[in-house]
Amino acid sequence: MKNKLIFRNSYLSLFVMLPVLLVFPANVDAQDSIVFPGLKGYSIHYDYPVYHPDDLWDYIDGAAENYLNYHFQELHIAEYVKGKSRIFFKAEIYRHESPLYAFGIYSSERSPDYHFIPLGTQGFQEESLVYFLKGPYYVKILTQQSGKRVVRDMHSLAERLEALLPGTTAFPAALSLFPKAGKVTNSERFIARDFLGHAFFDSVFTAEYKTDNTSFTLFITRRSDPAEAMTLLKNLYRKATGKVPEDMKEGDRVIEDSYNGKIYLIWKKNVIFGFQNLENQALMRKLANEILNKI
Amino acid sequence: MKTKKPVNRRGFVRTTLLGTAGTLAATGFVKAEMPVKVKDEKKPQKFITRKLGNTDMVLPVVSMGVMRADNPNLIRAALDKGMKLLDTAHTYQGGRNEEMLGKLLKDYPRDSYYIETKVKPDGYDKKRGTFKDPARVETSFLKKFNTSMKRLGLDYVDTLFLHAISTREATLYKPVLKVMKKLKKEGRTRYLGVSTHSNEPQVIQAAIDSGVYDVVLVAYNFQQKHRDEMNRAIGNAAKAGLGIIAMKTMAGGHLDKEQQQPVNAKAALKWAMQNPHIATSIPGFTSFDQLDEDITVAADLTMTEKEKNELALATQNTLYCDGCSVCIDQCKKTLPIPDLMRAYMYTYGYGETKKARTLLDQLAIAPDVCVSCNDCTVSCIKGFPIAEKIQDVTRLVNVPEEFLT
Repeated sequence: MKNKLIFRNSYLSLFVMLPVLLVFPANVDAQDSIVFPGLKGYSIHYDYPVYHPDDLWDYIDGAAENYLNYHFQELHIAEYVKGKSRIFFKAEIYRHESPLYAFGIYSSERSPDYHFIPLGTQGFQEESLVYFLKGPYYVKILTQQSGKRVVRDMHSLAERLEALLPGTTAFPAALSLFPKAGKVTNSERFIARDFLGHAFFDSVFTAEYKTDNTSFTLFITRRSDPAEAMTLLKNLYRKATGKVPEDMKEGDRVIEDSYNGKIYLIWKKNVIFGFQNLENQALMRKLANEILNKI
Repeated sequence: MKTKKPVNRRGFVRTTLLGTAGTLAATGFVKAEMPVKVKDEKKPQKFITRKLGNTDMVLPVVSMGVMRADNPNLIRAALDKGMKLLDTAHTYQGGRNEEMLGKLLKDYPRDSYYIETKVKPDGYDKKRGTFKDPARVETSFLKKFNTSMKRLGLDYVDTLFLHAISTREATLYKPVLKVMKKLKKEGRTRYLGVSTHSNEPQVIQAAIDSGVYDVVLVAYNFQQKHRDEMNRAIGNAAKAGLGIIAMKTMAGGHLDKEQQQPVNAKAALKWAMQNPHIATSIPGFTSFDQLDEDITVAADLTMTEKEKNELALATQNTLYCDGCSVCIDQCKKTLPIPDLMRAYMYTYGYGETKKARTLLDQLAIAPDVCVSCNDCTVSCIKGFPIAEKIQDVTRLVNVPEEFLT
């Protein structure tokens, strides 16, 4: 990717309009300008503007809501056309505020039963699409056509984009807290807000687990310090049960949430984790101990 | 329609609570505190209901836009509290939204809820509002619909929408109508609809003229300045027997780009539902607090003086153009004034001159475009000084790109 630093200088203030400077926000950030890589035999078309949070609706309609939840910043689009529109596909590069939020939106759209590919942090490939995550970027390459050739070319473009885009290829470190045994591969998610339907419960990692006879969810959130963790628990008690225990200490607890049912919670330091839909106490204890040993 | 609940979750929770607590205590898992009793379940409130056009659906005035929800318990709560209609789309959460609903709805009798989904076929040129390649349009529509039905695990949906259309031409596009009518005939959808949040009056009129659509899902909020035109179109649709569902009632949720000035969601929702021709609305809530708030609106649409005042203040925003397009025909040069007002908002409101310039370049507007007119014939319904604003913003065309932000 070619980064252009965009400067605002005296030319603008002198020749365009003084009032602009009066109303410009003081903290206008420099923006990245994405240069899409060439692909042999294809011409690149830029028929779309760069979308931002205020107009993403114009491009993806109601689906934009989910992207805004994950701090979407901008979307760059290019179309690759071969011959007289006989083969074409579209590349969409969504940039989010951080790799964490990019993982959040990516994980909200992936399904464990997809065909995953080693690209960037991770990618998946289906009949008419190649998607991948890298750093703050969530890249989608889509076609409305079918055939091995177009998929091969899409994959080739994906590899080139992956090489050009900067950013980490590592998953969020918090995912390492999840025990491996029983975890459904690629079921991990990052929920930015309103976890369990509670407005105060944000920034939560979840993973699905399956054993022989049960399926359940394990969730983990790391707060800034133990005091904030306690505040979260108090809010949960207040919302779920209507009252807050007076003496809150680290340890295990179960809260009966009138909406979500039983929530088993463990609090240690600044970390809170819990289980939903798991009744097997021995399994719960085993998994909890494994996590506690990592905190 | 039956309204019985298939699963009484809270009853289950109550009956198992003591036993579970005992088990936990015995294993030593619960150490710090014991379980607290479940809150008493509130009795369902009586909702204001309206009939959805000529369909057989009678709906509470507030329904659920599921688009962002990823907690099945929130949807259960909405259904338990008496909401009837769930709105999703093929594209929401990359398909996970429909999948989640599919898993959840297995627990509910099919006649205990209504569900609608939306599909947009390939080949739609959003800029022009037209379709191309009829065969691809038809095939992809059917393919996407089949995928949606597989995700939902249903034999039929109550309403299938052509998703996010902005022109009469696209609304009446025959290959789409053909496949939609076929699906209705096969019983895979009970009703057909079109959704729109741009150029809405034109789309609504096309839906009326089509004789095919039963429902229109339309953006409708207090910020729209082409309100009279909208109300006329909605009134005509209602008269023709079409059901009207409102979306985007919160007008984006915030009054400013920095998201520091939230819209009073409750007031905005009440405002929209004052229109008696609108049967229901689909706010997209993600928390139980929001659900509870919407439930109160469904039971009482009376606006307080405070709510009225808040909405009145909110409409005083002087940068946002509603895109009513009335001005285009008034302009001697038929300039794309709504787009130019958008460029103006990017520049003066957000300081995004580069974005404004990109838009101006696409529109191929000369910087002196308004100079040659002695008198501007445009009268903006929002009172914008159109010529002045165009002259200001088009000067960006002469600024070298490297100086733009």
